[in-house]
Parts: sequence; C-alpha cells; structure tokens
Amino acid sequence: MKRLLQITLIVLSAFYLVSCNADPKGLVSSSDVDKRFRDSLTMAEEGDVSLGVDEDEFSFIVVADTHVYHGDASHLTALKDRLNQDKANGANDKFLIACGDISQCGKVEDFQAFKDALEPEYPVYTAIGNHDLYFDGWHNYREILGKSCYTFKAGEVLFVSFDSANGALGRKQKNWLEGVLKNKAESLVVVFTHFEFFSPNPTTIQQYTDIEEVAYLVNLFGKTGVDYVFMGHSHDYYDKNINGTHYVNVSDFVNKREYLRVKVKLSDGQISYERKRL
Amino acid sequence: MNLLKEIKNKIIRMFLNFIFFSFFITYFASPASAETAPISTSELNQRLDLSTGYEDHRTLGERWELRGIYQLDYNTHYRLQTGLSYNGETGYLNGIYVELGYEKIKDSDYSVRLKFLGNQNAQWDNTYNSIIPYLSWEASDYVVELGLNYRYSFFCEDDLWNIFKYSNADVSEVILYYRLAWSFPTQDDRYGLTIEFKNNHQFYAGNLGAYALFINNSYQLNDRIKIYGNLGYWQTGSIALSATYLKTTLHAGMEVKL
Repeated sequence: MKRLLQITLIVLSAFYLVSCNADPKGLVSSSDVDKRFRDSLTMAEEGDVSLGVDEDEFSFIVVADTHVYHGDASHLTALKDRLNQDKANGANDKFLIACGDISQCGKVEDFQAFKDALEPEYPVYTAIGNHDLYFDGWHNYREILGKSCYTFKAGEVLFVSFDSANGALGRKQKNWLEGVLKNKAESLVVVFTHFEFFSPNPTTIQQYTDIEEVAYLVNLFGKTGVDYVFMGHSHDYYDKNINGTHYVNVSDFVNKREYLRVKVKLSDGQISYERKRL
Repeated sequence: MNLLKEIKNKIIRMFLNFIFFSFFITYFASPASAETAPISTSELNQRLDLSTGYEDHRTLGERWELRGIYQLDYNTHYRLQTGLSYNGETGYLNGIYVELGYEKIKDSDYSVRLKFLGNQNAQWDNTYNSIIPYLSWEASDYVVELGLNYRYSFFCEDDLWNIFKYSNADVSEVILYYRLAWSFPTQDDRYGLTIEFKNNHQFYAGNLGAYALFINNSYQLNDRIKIYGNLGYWQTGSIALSATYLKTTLHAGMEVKL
C-alpha cells in the first residue's frame, strides 16, 4: 500500500510539472511578495487614463490567464482585431486589464509579445500571476510591464492592482492596500488581482491560500465601498455579490478565449459588464 | 502601548519556546527504560486537553490563543469530541467544533468521523462553517485522514457562533481535507515525536493549498497526564509553484484523563 501511494504521488507530481511547463523550484521557494512590493516602490507610477471633458461613458476590457508562450500572442492579436471592429461599431474601449498569468513561464519574449499585441491602441494594466514568477520571471515582468501593485484613475474611477502571485498579501502590501482604500476620494473603485478568493467547483485545486486573509480582504472591500474585484487563476467564471462588492472570476483567455467588456457610466455611478468570447 | 504588546508577545513566545524545547531535553535526558501506562478497562473514558498557542502570520500579524478540547469515548467504538478556541489578540472565540466518530470499524484500523466546525473571525464580520465527513486510517506508526470539507462562508455579523448554520451562505465550497502523520520510533515509549503534513488542525480546515508541516512532541508524565508541544510551519503558493512563507504556529499544552 505504501509503495502504491509513493508511485501514485510521483506520477501525479511528474505529470503536473511536465504538463504546465512549470518551474519545479517553485514548490519550495519562489520570488517573495515583500520583495516585489519593495521593488515596486522604487518604480515609476502607472499613468492615468485620460477621458474627454464631456465623456460620461467609457468601457474597458478584462482578460485573465493569457499564458503567452514561446512569444506567440496570436490569440491576443485576434482579440485586438475584434476590439477594433467593435470600436468601428461604436464601442469606447479605453484600455485593457489582465488579471495575471500573462505568460506561461515568465520569459521576456512572452511579456513583450503580450504588450506588443495590444499596445498602443489598448494600453495594458496588469496584475502579476504565479506563472509570471517562474524562472525568475519577476525580473522580466518588472522590466516590461512594471509594478506589481499600483493604482491609476480613469475619470472618477479608481483602479487598484495588488499582488497575490504567492497566494498571500504580506504585511507591507496589506498596509498599503488599506491606506489606498481608506483614503480614496473616488466614488467608484475597481480592484484586480490574480488569485481567486473562492473555489468555483470541487475540482479547483488552487485558490488564495489563507481563508483568514480572504475574510480580512472581503471585509476591507465591503467597508471601503469597492464595486468590483476581478480575479483569474482557476480559469473558471463566477460572480458573487458580497455586501455590495462583485467578486468576478474571469475565465481564461488562453483556451476559452473569454473576456469581459466592463461599461462605466460616470453620471449614474454605474458599472456593469458583459461576457464575451472571441 | 505597542511596547507593552511587544513585551507581552515576547514573554508568550519565550514561554512556549521553553515548553517546546524542554521536550527535547527531557527526551535525551531520560533513561531508556520502558514504562507502560495501564490501559483503562472502563467502558466510558473522558479526556480534557488544554493548551496555549502563538501564531506569527506574515500578513495578519501575531496572536496568541487558548484552546480547550473535551473527548468522551464509549467502549472502543464511539467517540465525541468538542472544542473551543479563544483568540487573545481580538478577545473573541475563533473556533468551535463538535466531532462524532465511529472508531475501529469491525476492529480494523479504520474510523469514520463527522465534524461540525465553525471558524469565527468576528473582527471581520465573518464565519466559516464546515461539515467535514472524513475517513481515518490509523496504524501503529502512521495516520492518514481524508475527507471533504463542505464549507459555508458568511460575511455578515449575524449568527457568527452558530456552527450549524448552512443556508443562505454567501459562498459554498467543497475542499479536500487531508492529514498525513508519521510517528518516529523512540527509545522511550513515554516520548512521542510525530511529523504531520496537513491542511487543517482541530480548529481550522483550510484550502487545498494551505498545507503545513508540523512537528509534534509529547511526553507521558504518568498514566493520566501527557504534556505536548507542536510546531507548525505554513507555506503559501507552493501548490501553484510560487511558494513562500506564510506563518508559524506554536502550541503547548496538557492532556488529562478524567
């Protein structure tokens, strides 16, 4: 029985590591959230999104888990083509948010391909995912995509990206996030990150690690009036409304080709979204 | 205020460290003669477990706890266990559970248990209520426990301490519940050293990737009293291959046969 258990564990582990071209070192040690937070403090701020003076409505796109691999971002180029068509038909997409796992294994060519596929037409704002950390990926990520946690504005909407690529927040980032949300002046707030807070189904084997941290975050977001939290990681969609905050887990873009178009109407203080598939 | 808090935490930490490491000293200093505790022949056995604990969490900070567990066994097959945990940092109860077990099915190594667990985080208006049916396979030197954690999460302050509330949960999830433990053979039967790998403890049932490595020490003082100390090292992100440190837990206490 013991032998059978050992063999099963070895086969499952080997299959897991090979199947997602992952970094086995990450089983025991990886880039740390506190270090990334410290590094981010020294980096340039993300620019705000400029809106026209009379612009009352705008939209933005949310994707998750694009997993660009071997520098091939053709799925994102196809997305840009679709967005361009929509723009010709009246859509007003200002930018794109990506909820982590931009790359399959943290390579420069993958981050660059992601950025090149969408910019300059659609400025990208990203959250870092666990795959982006593989093979010392943080070094590459910061060079091409920038900070691991930051804020930016689009009109009266505050956007907050925080780093959950280790499945935990860390004390320094917690204090920063608390400060940002408690001192905000904007009436609408959108948060985005990588690890999802809840498991959509019993077969989901990965989610935010500590349920106490989730309790803390849900309480913070409810008390500070966060409207939407966009997440990824498990590749499965759900939308849970807890105390007025929508927790939306976005399906993956790499296989399901799914994305969200989020519409903002500033005069009404309304945010809504629709699910789209390429 | 902060200084006082720091001094208090340091004292607690020193106390727990002292108890924990004294087990090693006791073990190596004790003679190798075996002393077996008499086995109770009574049909009804009761046990009380009192402990104190300390936790250093990388995000949520430090806290200390008090825990009490009561166990009632009827012959070799029926078991009732219940416990309370008090969070000294917040001043709230943060764990309540009731567990029913049918032990040693047909006198085998297997037992089935059903646990009702409530994890209250009153400081954040949250409670996690769980129903956990699980199978336990307990041999002389190892234990395997496997089950499903049906978890119901409530993010409002109503009914926080009702561990049997499952309807209208904000979120319902099913999570794998597991524990693997291996006991080292020791020179002295009174001393126990066990290594555990699990995503839970008596007052907590975590996510699948919230696993920890525990080193548990115990010493049987006499036929009624056992003292113990447990050290837990918790990681985060390992299941997603982005592992880093999450928290350390330290518990020490005594188990008394009533």
